[in-house]
Amino acid sequence: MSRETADGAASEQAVPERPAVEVDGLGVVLGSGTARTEALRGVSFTIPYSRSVGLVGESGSGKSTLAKVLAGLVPIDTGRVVIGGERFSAGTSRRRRDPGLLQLIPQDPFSSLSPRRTAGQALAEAMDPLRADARRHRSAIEEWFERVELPASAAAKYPHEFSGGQRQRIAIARALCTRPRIVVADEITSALDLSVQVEVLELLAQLRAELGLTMLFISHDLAVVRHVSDEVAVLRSGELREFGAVEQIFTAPRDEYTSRLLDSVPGAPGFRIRD
Amino acid sequence: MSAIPPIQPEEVPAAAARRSRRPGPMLAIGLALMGSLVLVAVLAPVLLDADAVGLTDDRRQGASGEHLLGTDEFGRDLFARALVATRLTLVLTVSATAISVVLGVAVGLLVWMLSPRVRNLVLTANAVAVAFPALVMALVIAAILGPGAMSATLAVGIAGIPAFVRLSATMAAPIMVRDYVSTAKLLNVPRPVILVRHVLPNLGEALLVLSANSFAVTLTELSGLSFIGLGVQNPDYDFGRLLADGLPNTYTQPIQIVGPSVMLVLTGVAAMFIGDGLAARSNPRLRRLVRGRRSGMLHRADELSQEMAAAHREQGGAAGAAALRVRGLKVATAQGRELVRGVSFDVAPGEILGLVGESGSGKSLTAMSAAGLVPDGVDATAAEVTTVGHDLLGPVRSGDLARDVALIYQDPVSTFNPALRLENQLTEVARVHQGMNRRAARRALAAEFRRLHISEPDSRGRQHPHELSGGMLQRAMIASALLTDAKLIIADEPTTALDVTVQAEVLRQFVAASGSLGAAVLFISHDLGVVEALCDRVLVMKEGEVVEELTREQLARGEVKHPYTRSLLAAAQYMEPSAEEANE
Repeated sequence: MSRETADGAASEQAVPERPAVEVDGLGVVLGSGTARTEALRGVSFTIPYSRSVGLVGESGSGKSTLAKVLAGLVPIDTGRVVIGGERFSAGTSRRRRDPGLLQLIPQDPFSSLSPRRTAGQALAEAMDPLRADARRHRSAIEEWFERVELPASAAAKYPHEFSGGQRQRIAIARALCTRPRIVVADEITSALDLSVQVEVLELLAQLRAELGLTMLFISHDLAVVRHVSDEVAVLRSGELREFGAVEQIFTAPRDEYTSRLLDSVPGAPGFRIRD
Repeated sequence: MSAIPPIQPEEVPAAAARRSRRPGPMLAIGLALMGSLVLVAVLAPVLLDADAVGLTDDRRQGASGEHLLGTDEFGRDLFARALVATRLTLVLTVSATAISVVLGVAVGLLVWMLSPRVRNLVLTANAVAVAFPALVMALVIAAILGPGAMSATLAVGIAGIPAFVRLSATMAAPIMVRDYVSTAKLLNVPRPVILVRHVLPNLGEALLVLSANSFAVTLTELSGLSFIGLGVQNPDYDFGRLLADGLPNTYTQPIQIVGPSVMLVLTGVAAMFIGDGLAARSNPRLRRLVRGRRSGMLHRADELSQEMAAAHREQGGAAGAAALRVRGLKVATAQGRELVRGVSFDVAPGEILGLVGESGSGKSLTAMSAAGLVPDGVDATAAEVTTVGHDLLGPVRSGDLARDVALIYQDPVSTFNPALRLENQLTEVARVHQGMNRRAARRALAAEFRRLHISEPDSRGRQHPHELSGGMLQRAMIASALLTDAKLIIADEPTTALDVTVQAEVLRQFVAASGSLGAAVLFISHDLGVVEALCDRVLVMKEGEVVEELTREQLARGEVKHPYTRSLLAAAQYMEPSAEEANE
């Protein structure tokens, strides 16, 4: 992965030379006083365009904070983040961002959709934030529902009429219909049954190939991360412990913590619960 | 991928979860009462105006066929006056309530456009205003503006604003941090639009309930102002004014105050009924309680299934051998939807039995019924449930059951009371049901902590739940089970909320508990990997039925017959390429 920056390089395809996401010495402090915690400390990694990076960590590792920083929901304290060439750091004012830059697919399919708005209205809001008129965008909405393998009739239904997996499909459609180049998926399968997880991951892989998406896939589940990532970042207590190609991480981890994480998965060769 | 047959998403129990369109009896009465009052308010001034204001010579008469509630000192019909006053009273009360609700909610939502610091300042100032008695504030405002219907309405309306500011700001707070609001922010939806589109509709139901109750309060406050002469002035009259007119004659002609009093009570009751009825409707749990359905009980199945059970019993041998024995367990919702359809199984002492299935398979209901715990709103029947020798279908001393059966839940944080020290909660069964004194119980608990290799075993018990991690809390629960020498441990997804590195440690404790102490374990999980590593035997559940029973070896070798188990296994293997490598 080239970290060279060739500003204004007149490439015919207009494929930017810079990586899609550069995280450089990122530090985030949450809370103040006694509740003050360093959620992230000196985290650096890059995601090239059209690649998928998996971010693994246990609770309290700061992985969700990282997702929120990228989405602009949590301010940066030290270091910087460059997304699609746009630079964000501690001084950056929280100006409006182009929704096409980066979208976040939230974790909980139950809280990510307003119970009083239909699935169609949820998508319409993404397409037209001001008016959010589902009728005006009907054909586009139906097209997206088809993409995520939901029937067109889903548009008129309310969230409680869907299963968890179906809701997550709606959340995916809503995030992708703004045509973002970069998608951050925060634990999007953790609330789903295994068989539904498989379906959602299959769908995501398919859409990623179709749309050439760059993705940061956050999960506590090593198996899921292995399945969807080209590179893997291992986060613990706000620090990046290891970053490398997926096969290297899973077959020859360099960090002691990564090995321990791998051995803790039931069924893994190093997993022992009986003496 | 084609190897995995798609599993249908579970059917959303629409009928059960959604509120019924039919209003409850309370709401129906309230609406009917309010409807008739509105009708009176519309018709009475048109039909009865002459009787109500016309001066006649029939002064100070008692009740009669002609004048149902008699007449006042000017010979005006008091029944007609009480009915005609309904219009003005309702109009003023509705206006004042509308002022409180509309302005209060508007301010309560708009504070969410401010920076956190300014918002806190505004809400603190508002809290002071809430603490100030509304009626006193109304008196001040009415005094400044001068007495009159308009100023009384404004006064009561404005005095009610702070309460609604606080309510709507508070209710909006949890919605503002919901993912759909964050997503809308990411999509650049302007703040005011977010408030109107996402926050206000989700407050709607609660606000409606509160407005109905506020209407009743406003009614008494407005009537009070009229009564003391700061509200409606002669020659106009509302209920309060009529009461004031009748008061001087209470002793000579008490019937004068009957009309306005009854009307006031009726109007207030109508508003309260509507409020409570709406509240019951928006909260399905409350509605069920109101209906008083029989639920949450474990019953013996009818005779036919008892015969089947007898047959089962003969097949199954002596019941005494098993730590848990369940025959023909059925669980259904009050609406008749079957959630568990005739499940039978045994758990031997020292055995770890896994219960696997996806959400909605009925695995948790099955396990909880085995402990005699049936949630509200469902009915459980069985031919036999014998738990550690106790027949749960007959009378059981709860103390015995508490001693012999230990439960470990999915979310360790909500299992504990955050206000109490661990030792008080963990030794409760030992102290209450086994008569152990506090000091002995504390020492025994520390010994169990030590046995489970929990760090700092002697001081752990003094800590509060929030001082321990989730994994530590689950291990403490296991220690508590060991302390009472529980014969059966029922664990409902005890490691699902834990990190993988912690999960392994907790699973080790389960093995230790069952191995060295001979406790039977019923372990519920959706994770085949966990079950395969931990359990001796596995039951696979789907849609309330056990579809397959497997030994650990069969599961490890993939020797499964039922297509559903195969699809579960395929999904697990799809996720877990490492498992295949390990087998090679």
